[in-house]
Amino acid sequence: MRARILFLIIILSFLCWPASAQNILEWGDVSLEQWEVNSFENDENAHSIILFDVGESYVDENIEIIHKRHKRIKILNPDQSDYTEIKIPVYDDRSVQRLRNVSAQTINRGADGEAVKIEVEKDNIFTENSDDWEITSFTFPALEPGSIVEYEYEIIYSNPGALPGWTFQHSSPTLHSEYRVLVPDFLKFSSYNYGYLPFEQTDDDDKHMNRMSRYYNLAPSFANYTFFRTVLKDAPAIRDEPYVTTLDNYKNQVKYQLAGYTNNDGLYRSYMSTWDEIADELLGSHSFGKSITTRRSLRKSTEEIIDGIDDEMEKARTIYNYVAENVQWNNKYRLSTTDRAHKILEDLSGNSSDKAILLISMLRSAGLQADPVIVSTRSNGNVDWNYPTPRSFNHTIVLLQIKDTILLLDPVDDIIPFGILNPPSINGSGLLMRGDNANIVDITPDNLSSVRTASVLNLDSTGNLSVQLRSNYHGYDAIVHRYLAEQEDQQTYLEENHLENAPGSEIEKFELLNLDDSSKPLTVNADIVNEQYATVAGNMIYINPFFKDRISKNPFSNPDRNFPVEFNYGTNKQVKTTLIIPEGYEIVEIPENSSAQFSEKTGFSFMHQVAGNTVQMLLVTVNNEIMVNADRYEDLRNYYAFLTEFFNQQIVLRKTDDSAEVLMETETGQSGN
Amino acid sequence: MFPVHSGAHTSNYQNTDPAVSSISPELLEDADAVIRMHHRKVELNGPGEGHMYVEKMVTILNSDGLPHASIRVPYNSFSKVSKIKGSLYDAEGNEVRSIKNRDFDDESLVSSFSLAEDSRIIKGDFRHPEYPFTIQYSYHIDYSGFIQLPAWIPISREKTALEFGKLIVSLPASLGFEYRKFNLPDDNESIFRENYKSGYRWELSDLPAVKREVMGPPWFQLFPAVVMRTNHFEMEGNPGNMESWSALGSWFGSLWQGRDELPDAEKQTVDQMIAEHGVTKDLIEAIYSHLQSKTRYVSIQLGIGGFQTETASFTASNLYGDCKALSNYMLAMLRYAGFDARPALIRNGGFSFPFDPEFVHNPFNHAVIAIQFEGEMIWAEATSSSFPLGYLGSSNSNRHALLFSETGGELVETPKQSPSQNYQKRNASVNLNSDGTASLSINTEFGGKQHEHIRQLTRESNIQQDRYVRNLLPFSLYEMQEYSAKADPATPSAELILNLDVETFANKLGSRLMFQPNLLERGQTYVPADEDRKQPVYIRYAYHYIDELTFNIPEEFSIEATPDSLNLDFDFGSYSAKITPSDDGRTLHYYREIAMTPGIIPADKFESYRNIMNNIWKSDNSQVVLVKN
Repeated sequence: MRARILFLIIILSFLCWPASAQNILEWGDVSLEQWEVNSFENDENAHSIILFDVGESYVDENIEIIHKRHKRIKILNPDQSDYTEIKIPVYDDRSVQRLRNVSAQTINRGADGEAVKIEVEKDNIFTENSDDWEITSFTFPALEPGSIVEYEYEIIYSNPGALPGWTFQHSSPTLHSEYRVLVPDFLKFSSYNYGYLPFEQTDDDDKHMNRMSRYYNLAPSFANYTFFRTVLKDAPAIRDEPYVTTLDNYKNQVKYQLAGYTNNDGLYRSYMSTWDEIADELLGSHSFGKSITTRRSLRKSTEEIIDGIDDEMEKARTIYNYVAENVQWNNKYRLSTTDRAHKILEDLSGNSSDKAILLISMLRSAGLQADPVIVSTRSNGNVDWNYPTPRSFNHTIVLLQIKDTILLLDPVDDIIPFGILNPPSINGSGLLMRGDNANIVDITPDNLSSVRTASVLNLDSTGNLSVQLRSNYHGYDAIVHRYLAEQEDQQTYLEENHLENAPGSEIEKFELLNLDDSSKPLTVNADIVNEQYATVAGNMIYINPFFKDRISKNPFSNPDRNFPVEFNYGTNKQVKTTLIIPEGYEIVEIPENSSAQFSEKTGFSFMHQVAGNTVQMLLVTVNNEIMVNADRYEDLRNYYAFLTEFFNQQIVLRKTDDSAEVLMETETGQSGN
Repeated sequence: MFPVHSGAHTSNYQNTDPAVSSISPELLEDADAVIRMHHRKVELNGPGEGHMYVEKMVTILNSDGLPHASIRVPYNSFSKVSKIKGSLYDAEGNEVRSIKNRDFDDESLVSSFSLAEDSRIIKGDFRHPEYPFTIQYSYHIDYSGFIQLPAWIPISREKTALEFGKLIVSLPASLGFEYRKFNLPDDNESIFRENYKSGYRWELSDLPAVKREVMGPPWFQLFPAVVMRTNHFEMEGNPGNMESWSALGSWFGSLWQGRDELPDAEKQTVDQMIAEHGVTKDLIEAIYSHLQSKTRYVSIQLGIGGFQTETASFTASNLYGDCKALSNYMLAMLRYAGFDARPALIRNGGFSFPFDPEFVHNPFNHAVIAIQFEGEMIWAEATSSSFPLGYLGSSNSNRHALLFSETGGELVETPKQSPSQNYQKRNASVNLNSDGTASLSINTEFGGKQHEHIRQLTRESNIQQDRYVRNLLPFSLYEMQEYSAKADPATPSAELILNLDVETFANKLGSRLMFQPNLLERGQTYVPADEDRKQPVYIRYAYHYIDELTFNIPEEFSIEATPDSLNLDFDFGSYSAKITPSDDGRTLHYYREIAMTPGIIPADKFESYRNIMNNIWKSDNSQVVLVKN
C-alpha cells in the first residue's frame, strides 16, 4: 500500500512539469510550470533542480569566441543545495580568457504570486586569484525553499580554436540543458558527443540560428555559418560511486575541435586533421619534442651511469632506474615540458613529461630506440580517438624497442618497476610518435598482476590459531602493496592489509622482502598467533578458513548504476591454505567445493580436500574484466553478493566422543603439526 | 640578558651544521625528521604593528618526514610575507640547490566552507632523491594589524626531534605582554627590559622525538608551545586592550555596536510574534525558529569582517551570513523584543590549548548567543538551521565562552553534556527464516551528540539517506519496507525506524545458520598490545548506548552456541552483554549496554584498559549458531 502511495506522488509530481512546455525563458521571466517544479523522478527530495542551463558560443567580429551562459535553478532546500554558492573559474591570463557581464539574481514568489527579484550586488561578487586561476564567486540573497535563482556570464576566448564544450549533467537533476554554437564557415569545427543518456532530436534549429545571427555582433563579411545545437532533457543527478575513473567520463558532453579554416584567398587549410599532424606539431614544439636532446653533456652523464654495462636491456633498465629514482616528480601530470632534458637532469626535478622526455634523451644517448607515447591519465578522462587534438593528453610515457622487444616505460615514480606502467596511465590507448608517424598503441596491461598466497593455519583445541603466511605480489598488486607499505609503518601495514580479518593477532615474525627492488615480486612472510580468530563454544569450534583476501562486504551496495564499473587493473588471486585441526575434533561442516563465473574473464573457484586432521584448500579468484557496462551491473552486484556470502562461511568442528583417543594423542605430543 | 637586535638579522643557520653526522644519536631515535633549529624573532613597534623573522633548518630522515620539506606560510590582509629563501643540503651537508622566491606558489586559502576569505598561503614543496637531506629556509612577515600574535609551536608533527629552538619577542614596554607556555621546561626563559623596551626569550634544546600513541593525549598536551598576547592591540584602526576579559569583550562589543538595527519590515514581524506569544520563552523560540527557517550559513571573512559582524539589515535582506552575522541578526530581533541577549565568543571544535581563565587572550573562532531570561541562561547556535533552542551542539558544549557587549565582556561556561544525554537506544526484532533470510524491524532513538547526525540526515535528499543506511547496515541485498528518520523540533533527540527484508542475514552452512546478535554496534576496534606505553589514554566523549534485539528462531532449528555474557564495571564506564533464550527455545533476547565517561587513564593502567576494550570487542563480535534438528 505504502509503495502505491509513493508511486502516485511520483506520478503527480511528474505532471507538474510537462516536458512539452516552453522551459527556457528570458532573464527574470518565470513560468507557472517553473514555480511548480518541486521534485524529480527517483530523487524526490533533491535539494535543487536545474530548470535550464543554456549556453551559446559564437565567433564575433574580432574572431574571438564569445561564450554566454544562462543557468536557472530551483532551490528546494537552501541549506543543502549545491547551487546556492557559485564559483566561476577562468584561466588567470586576460590574453587567453576574460570573464565579463556576470549577473545573478534570486526570484521569489510574492504573496500575490508575482515574481520578486533580488539582484546580487556587485559588492557581493568576489574575485580571488589562486595558482593559475581567477575565481569569481557569489551567493544568492534572500533564499527560501522554492526560490528560483539564475545567473549569466560571458567568457571571451581569444583563440577561436578554444571553442568550449558543454557538460549536460550535474550533481543536481537537470530538466533542460542546451548548447548552441554559431561559427562562420571559414572556421570548420567538428563536434563530438559523449555520454550514456540519449540527446534530444532537435527540429527548430533554424529559428535559433537566425536569432543568434540577428542579435549578436557578427562580422558582416562572415557570409555563411555553421550551427550546432545539442539538447539533453531530464538528466538525473550524477554522483560518485565505487570503481569509477573520473565522473566526467560518464557525463553527457559535447566537445568541439577546430578542423581547419579558409583564408582570405579562399584556400582551405586543414587544422590538426590527422594524428600525424598532431605528432608533427608536438615533436616540433619547444615545450615537447624540442626538449629531447642528445647534447654532449647529457651523453656524458648517461655514459657515466651505464659505465661497464654491455647488455642493451640492462642499459635501459639502469637509465630508467636513474630517472625514476633521482629526478623528483613535482606531482603534476602535464603534457608540456618545462625545460630541455639536460636542464631537467641538472635540476633533478620536473613534471611527468619532463621525466619521460629526459628518459628518452638518455636512452637515445645510449644508442637505444626510444619514442614518446602521449596519454591521458585516468583522472584526466578518456581520449576520443576520432578527435585529433593534443588537448586531451596530460602525460607522456616512453616506448622502448630493443630488437623485437617492446616495452612501455613510465618513470614518474620509483615505485614503478621497469617495464610497468604507473596505474593512472592505464587508460586504454596512447599516441606513439615515431619519426613522421603517429600510431595509436594499446596500453591495456597484460595479465601481469597476481597474488599468490600459501598459508598454514594450525588450530589447537583451546581455539588458539597459529598462522604461517606467505604472499607474493606481482605486477600492479606489487605496486599497490609497495605504496601501502610506504604509507604506513610496517606493523600497521601488516595489520591493515594482511590481518584485516584477524584483529588481535600477535605477530611473531614479519618480513617484507624486495620492498625496494621493484624488479622482483614483493614477498610478505608472517608468523602470527591469534587467540580469538576461532570461536570455541562448548565442544564446538567455528573457524572461517578464508583468513586473508576475504570479501566481507559487497562494494556494490547501490542497486542501480547508470555508467560502467571500471576496476584499476585485472588481477588473479590464488590462495592455498592448509588447515590443521586439533586432535580429537572432527569436521561437521565445511564450505562446499564451488565455482562461479561472472564472465569469461572473471570468476572464482574453491576446492578442498580433507585428509586426517588436515584440510587442503585452494581458492582462485580472477578479475580480468576491468570494465563492466551498466547493463551488466546487476549481474556484477549479484556476483559480489555471492562472493560475500561465500567468504563468510565457516568450518564447524566438534569434539569426538572418543575422548580416550584424544588424551592419548595429546600425550604423545603433536610435534608433527 | 641578551641584546635586542633591530634592523639587520644575523643568520643563525651558519651555526648549525647541516650535515647529518652532527646530529646527536638520541635525537635520531624514533624520528622521521630532526628540527635542527627553529628561530622566531618578533619585534613589535606598536599595537598590532610589527615584524617577524622566522628561520628553520630541518633534516628529513625518511619519506614520512617529507611534510617538513613542504613549506607553508599563511598570511592575510593584515600581514605581508617577504624575502623567503633557503637551501637544500645532502646528507653530508653539501648545498645541492638554493630555494628562491620563484619556487613558491601564492594561493588563496579559502577554506572549503567559505565563499570568500582573504587568507592566503605561500607554499613550496621541496624534495631530494636521497634521504636524509636537510632543508633550511627563512622569511619575514610584516604585520599591520592583529589581535594576538600567532602561538610559537616549534614542533609541528609527531616523530620529530628538536635540536635547538629559540623565540625572541621584543616590544615597547608600554604595549604590555602576557604569555602561557605549554610543555616547556621552567628554566628556559629570560626577560629583559631596557629603555622602554621589553624582551622575552625562550630556548629549547635536544628534545627527542615523540610518537603519538593510540587514544593518546591531544596534540597540545605533548608538544612545547608559547601562546602570547600584548595588552594593547589594534586592527584596522580599532585599538583594543586585553588586560581583562571585560576589556577584550568591550573591543568586540564596540565593533558590533550599532549594527543591530532591524529594518522596519522585520520590526513588524517581531511585533506580530510579540502579539502572539507575549514576552515569554515561546517568543524566544519563535524568533529562533524564524531565524532558522529564513537564513542559511555562508562564510565570508574579509579584513576586519573576520571579527566584526555584518549589519542586521544586511542579513535580514540577504538572508545569509556567517556565525557573527546570523547571531547578530537574531540578537537584533531579541533586543527589539526586549530580551537581555548577548553574543558569546567560543572556541568551536576539539583542537585547542587548555583554557586558562586567568590568561586573557583570544582563542575564539565562533560566535553563539546567550539570553538571560527569568534567571535562566538560554543558549542558541544561530548557524544551525535545525537545533532546538538551548542546544548548542557537542562542538560548542563543555567550554568557556566570552559574553560581550560594548560595555564589557564576561567569561561564562556553556552547557555540559553528560553520558546520559548522549544516548542511543535501539530496539529490534529479527524474524529469521530457515533459509537465512530475515525480516527486521529496527527502532533507534538518539539523544545529544548522538542525535546530531540523524538530525542532519533528516535534511538530506532521499538518495543521501539511502546511502547512509547502506553504509550502516552490514548486508548489501535487502528490500526496505519502511524507512523513517525524524528529529524532534523541541529537544535534542531523533528517531530512526527501519523495517526491511534481508536476503542473507544468517550465513548458511549445511545444516547450520550463524549470525552476530550484535547487529549494528560493531564499531569497537581491537586495541593492540603496547608494552612500552608512555602516554595516558584519553576518553574524549561521553555516551550511553543500549541495544535490545529479539530473534525468532525458525521452527526446525535449535540453538547450538551462543556467546557468553559479559559484565564489566570500570573507572571510565561500564559494559554488559547478555543473550538469553526464551523458555521454549523459540526466541533469543540480546541485550547490550555500554556507557563511557570522558577521562584520562594513566599509562601504567593501559594494559587493564586494553583488556577491557578487547573483551568488549570480542563480545561485540561473537556469534550465535543454530543447527537443524
